Amino acid sequence: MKKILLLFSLMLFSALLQQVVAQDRSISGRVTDRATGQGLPGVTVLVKGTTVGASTNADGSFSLSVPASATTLTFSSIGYTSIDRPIGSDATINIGLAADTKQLGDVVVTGLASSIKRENLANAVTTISAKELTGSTRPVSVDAALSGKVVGANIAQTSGAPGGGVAVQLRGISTINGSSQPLYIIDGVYAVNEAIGNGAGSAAFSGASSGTTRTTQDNPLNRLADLNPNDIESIEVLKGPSAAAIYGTRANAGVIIIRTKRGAAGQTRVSLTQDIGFSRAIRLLGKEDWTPEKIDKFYSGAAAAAEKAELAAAQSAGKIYDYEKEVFGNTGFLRNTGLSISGGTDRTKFFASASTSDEEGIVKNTGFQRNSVRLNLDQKIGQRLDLGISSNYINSNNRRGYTGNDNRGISLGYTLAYVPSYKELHKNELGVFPDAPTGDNPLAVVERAINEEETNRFIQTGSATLRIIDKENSSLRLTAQGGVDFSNSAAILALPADLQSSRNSNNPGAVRFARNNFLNTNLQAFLIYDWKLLDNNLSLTSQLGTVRLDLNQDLTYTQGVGLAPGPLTPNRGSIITQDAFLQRESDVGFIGQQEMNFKDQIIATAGVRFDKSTRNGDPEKLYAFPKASLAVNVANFEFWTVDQVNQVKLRAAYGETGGPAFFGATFSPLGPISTGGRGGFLPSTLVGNAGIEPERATELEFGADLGFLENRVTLEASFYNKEVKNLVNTFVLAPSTGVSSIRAFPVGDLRNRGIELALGVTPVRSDNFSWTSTTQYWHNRSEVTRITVPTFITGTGFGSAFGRNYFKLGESPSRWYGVPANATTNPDTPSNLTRYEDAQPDFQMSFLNSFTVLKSFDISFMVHWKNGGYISNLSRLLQDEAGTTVDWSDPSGRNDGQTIGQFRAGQAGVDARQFIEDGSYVRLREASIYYSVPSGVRTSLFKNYVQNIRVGVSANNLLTFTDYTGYDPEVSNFGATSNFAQVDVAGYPNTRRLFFHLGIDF
Amino acid sequence: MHKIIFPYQKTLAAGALALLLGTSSCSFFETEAVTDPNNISIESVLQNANQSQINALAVGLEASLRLGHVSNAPNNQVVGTFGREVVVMAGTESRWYTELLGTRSATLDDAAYYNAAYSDFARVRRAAQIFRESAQNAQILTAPQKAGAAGFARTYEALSKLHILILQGGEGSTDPNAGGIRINLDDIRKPGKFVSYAEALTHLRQLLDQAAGELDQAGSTFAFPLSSGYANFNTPADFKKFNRALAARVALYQKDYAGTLTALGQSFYSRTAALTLGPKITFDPGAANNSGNPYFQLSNSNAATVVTVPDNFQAEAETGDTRLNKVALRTTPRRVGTGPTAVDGNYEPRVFASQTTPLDIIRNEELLLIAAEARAMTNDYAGATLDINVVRTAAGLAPTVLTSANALDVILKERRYSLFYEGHRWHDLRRTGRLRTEVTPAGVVGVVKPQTLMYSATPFRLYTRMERPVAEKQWDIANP
Repeated sequence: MKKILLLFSLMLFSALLQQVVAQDRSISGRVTDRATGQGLPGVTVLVKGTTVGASTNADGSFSLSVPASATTLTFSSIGYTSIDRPIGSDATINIGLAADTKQLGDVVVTGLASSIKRENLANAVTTISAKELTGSTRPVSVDAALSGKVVGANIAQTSGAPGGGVAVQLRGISTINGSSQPLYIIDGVYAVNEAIGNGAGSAAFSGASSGTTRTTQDNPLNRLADLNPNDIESIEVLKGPSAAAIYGTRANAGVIIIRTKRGAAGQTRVSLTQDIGFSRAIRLLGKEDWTPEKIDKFYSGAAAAAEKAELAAAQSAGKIYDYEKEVFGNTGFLRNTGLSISGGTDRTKFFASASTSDEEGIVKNTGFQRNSVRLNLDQKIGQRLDLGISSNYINSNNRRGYTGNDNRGISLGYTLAYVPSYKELHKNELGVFPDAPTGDNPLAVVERAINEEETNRFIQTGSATLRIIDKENSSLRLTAQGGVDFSNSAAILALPADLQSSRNSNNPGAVRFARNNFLNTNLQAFLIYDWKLLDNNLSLTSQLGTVRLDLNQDLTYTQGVGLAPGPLTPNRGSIITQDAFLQRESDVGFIGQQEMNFKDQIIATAGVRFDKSTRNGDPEKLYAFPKASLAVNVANFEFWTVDQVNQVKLRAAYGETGGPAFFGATFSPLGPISTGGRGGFLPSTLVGNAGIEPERATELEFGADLGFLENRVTLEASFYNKEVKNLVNTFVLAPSTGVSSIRAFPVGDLRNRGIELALGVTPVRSDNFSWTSTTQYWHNRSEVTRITVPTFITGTGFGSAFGRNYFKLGESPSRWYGVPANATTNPDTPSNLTRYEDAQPDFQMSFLNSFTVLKSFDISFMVHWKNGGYISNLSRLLQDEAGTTVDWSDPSGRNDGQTIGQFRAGQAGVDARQFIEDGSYVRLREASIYYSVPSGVRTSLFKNYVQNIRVGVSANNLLTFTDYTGYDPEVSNFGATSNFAQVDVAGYPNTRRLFFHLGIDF
Repeated sequence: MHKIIFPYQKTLAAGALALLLGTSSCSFFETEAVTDPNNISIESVLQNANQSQINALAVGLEASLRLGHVSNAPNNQVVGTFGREVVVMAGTESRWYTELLGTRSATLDDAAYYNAAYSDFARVRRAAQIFRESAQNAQILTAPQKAGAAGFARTYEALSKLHILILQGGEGSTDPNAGGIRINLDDIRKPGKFVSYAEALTHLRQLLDQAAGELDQAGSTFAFPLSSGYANFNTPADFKKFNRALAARVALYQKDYAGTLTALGQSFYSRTAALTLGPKITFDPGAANNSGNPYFQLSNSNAATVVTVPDNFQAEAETGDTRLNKVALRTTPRRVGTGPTAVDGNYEPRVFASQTTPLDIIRNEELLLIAAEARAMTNDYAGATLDINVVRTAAGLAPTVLTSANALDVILKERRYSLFYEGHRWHDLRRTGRLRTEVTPAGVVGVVKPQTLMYSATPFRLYTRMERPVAEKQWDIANP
């Protein structure tokens, strides 16, 4: 190896010496937004066909020295149509860019180290610019801000708690184990996006799960919430294997590439943004008050008399309360402040930002705070070496309270459902909360129960590009990139010993200190060779590279129950338990890719990635993930003469990606257990599979992109067929063996087919009024096409009484099944259960419209329509059982003397129909109006100290139209699940958010 | 680097990295197999386990019997509900007092939380198998020590299967799909078919007999430790008495009364010993990887979940029965459900004094009651009367006389109060054909008060068995 190294360095060195410096000339100018006339910062100005270029500064000005041979400059900026401008003999070039709904001129990453112009792309890669992401309003987190904007994505908030909790599913079901979330890459770093619980749902706390460590019902947020949305320049969504193949073994669920802002040469630009807002529950369930007759239905004898007396007393004192309103009906105050400074010279560019967010929840004592600082630095060293670093430190703190499923009585939604409105639960004059009828007093839980988590996180990347050969027709560069994402979360959960539910517990009081550490590191190196043939008509890009990824997790906690009075720390417990869990993973990959572009008419790419992973049975075995694609720009051929149609692109792409089992898939552990003071071993209910191989997704995508009237009208249509083969899942065995399943087994194949359509129209584009409109439509259908094991339960339902999903041949793995069971009418369903609807939506549509009026007003709104998508909703049952549903006493439609509430409660377990509810909605997801102070007014007030002043009002989830009976159809008791089948059990209500914005650029 | 498959790429890439990052090329490309950082593997003990591993496996096996009691659906609460000994009033899980009391559906859910004990008890069998196989392959153990390990393991295997069989039921039917269990389970990928209840009992007898034979070969001491729950049963000879007690229970269920009496004779059955004599499951909530007694409940608890006792336990007892101290009147009665499906919880169980109170696996009081039943069924009413009166006297009641007319009803009534909340009532009524609202009508001499099952008439409903888990059904569909 050493000899080869030496040889290689020599080659490199001699290449450096061969470089010849060309004669340069200088060109300067200014780039403006065609609609507003304001200078556009950060526009890339490139000498066409080379890597020579510059960026515009804060007021849109640029200057660069170009080689004498240069003929054309290319101006490109995300969100605007790129323009090629011949240079001629001009020394000054001023140009206006038009906003583009389809961003044809963007460059899109197709390899790990190279990019391609969007108009030459063979896949439907969705790019979301900063403006689209958070330019309108401020959804709860970055991933939530993608909702409705990515055609082909199913995005849902899983919790309304501050900081959110978001599930993202790209092009249907990619895996049926784990949570099936896409891979997130932030500036080249494999980002930590685990939603790891802290134990809030464990036996010692809400008891939602009988598990004692971390459970699927802990209601965690995903770590993407740490990212400051204002730092993001753009997000690219590689939805399927045909686009994501280059990411190989972990890309089955798609890849979301986040790029943060970087500095531009020129004047230093300072931006200050301030948002102030409010959040309120989208809706509350309401309650029904009590009458003596109703009390007789719930109580008998002396108890009934006592309750009636209590009711009468409460009524005469006017003390009938709406506890749901007291707990969930508050207004949360939201504040985001951001400051960024960017600028630099030709050689050194920087972007620095600091932000602080403080978002209160609608439940008192809940909230999310985030403080983030970032420095992105780019430095050129000599003519050949470019270095870049991105450093981000984040401190975030979330307090989520206790909501969702529960077996103890502390979850707020649960206890609120069971509390009659005449009960007095308010603190008395001694500061003591009265006991609730059962479980716990929700007001006491809000005030005294603790569930908070603080995260400290560093995301650090460094990249280097060395141009080894730099000629117009042939350039070779070496790029290397490394990144670290380290996140430490420290959670405190506590239920004081004198809470009602604690006093009724065998070991009153519980405290847990949990520490979750994640460390992701990745390194990659690529050699990229750009060359031209056939009189420069054929451009070729060849690349070879290698990547390494290491993922470490250390999850620990200390818990004390049976607490002595005093500070809430675990070591004051009478019973102290500890837990530690370690996880170590490494992947190594090798990549080769060849791109060919013939005159922007025919663009072909082929590549392959070989990956090995310690998650696989054989950690040394390389698995190949090939890809190939072809795009034909018909309108770029000479024969095309239809001027009105400026783009006709036909494209096809094929690719494969993998999904390695999961950590521990090969292990058959003996777990710890003890008795009589001695430690022992107990075989796990899971056994490993030493031969497990990764599941593999293959995708064939076809599409056509059309552009009319200089892209005033664009249509992007895609069809895909994504097949996931050898899906890795637990192989459910006969449970009487004492083994519930083989941890990882190739259980079968799954097919996802879907259509994605995006229509962009600019109906009006004039100086004083412009209107752009995007309409998107998408749907996906999933079907099990092969099964090698018995039909098994997948997803996370609560049993056939309320709806379950099965992995069954010929069916969607997200379809609901439930009671009644009937062998005659349902001979072929699992356990003869009734077949209900699919949790997957029939289709989704979004309508995004933006208007610019008088160059000063920006108005936009987005309507998101999800049609279908059924949810297993248990929330109403809680109220029906307790007699508190708004319509509980309604006798209509019943002739058996029962009320509607009694009837519904009695139907539980008999008929699951009422629980499997249509989650369709039409939502005004985003709406905003901004006003930019005209430059005349601005300069008269602030002279030239202030470059731009913008004020605005916006709203998120302003209006929702749905028949769903729960708080909101975006909900999931189990967080992000693999099949996206959601269960609703008294979760934290989702919110609508209203903001006032102020932005000042200096 | 072992295999150089893509030398060109590797060379270039390695060179690039070495230049830029200064890392050693070999470590960059290595993906060494990750061994489980959290636990030891099964494979590592199956061949030639050392003494500490043998000890840990034995401790794990003994501890595993607790699992069926400490889940979200503790066994004695589930079968206690089926036998209407208790009602679990779970404020956050109405299925306890609706579905399990039969107000919802004629068949139970085959994938619900309340069948948790099925797989928990199945783990005992697997732990027994791993322990037995590891012990047989351990060079450190002598032949008698291996026999002792095998006898201990097989006795636990029988316990595991017996618990599952009680849940699954199927008595009186030869159809293996009307209850029953699988008995051949050593190959987890090729489990045997379900067998009927009767076949399962035959298998359990054989298993216990085989274990007894092994215990006879086991010398004077076990090669592994047992907890204080086995205080008087921790040698092969004494452990065999426990094994024979289980054999007597199984023989009684088989209606093999002669076999019952033979087994009893080799067990720790005694008319003079303490009624509580017998091996126990111990609990210690403060110890790591252990837990508290799940059946202990704070008195007058107002927790979200409260276990209550139907009123007739108190009402149908004989006056002065000291076993009534197993329940107490609640100061805050609880009621769940509305209208005809309402259930009242005026009493609560007080069987267990604290979280560390042990739970009996089988004890002398049950053996006396088994003896009484086996003798009565073989027309030895005098002997049966002697046995039953040991129990009655201990309960502060006057002696009674068993006859062919009253024996079974009296014995079932005494079993009701003696073995309350210990997991017997439902099966006792089922196996004697008395799982019905009117268990024993008025007028049976010695029963004193009619015996009934509350919450069993329409709209309530009694179940004769827990539904077979969906995974078992699906396994058989896929492996016909």
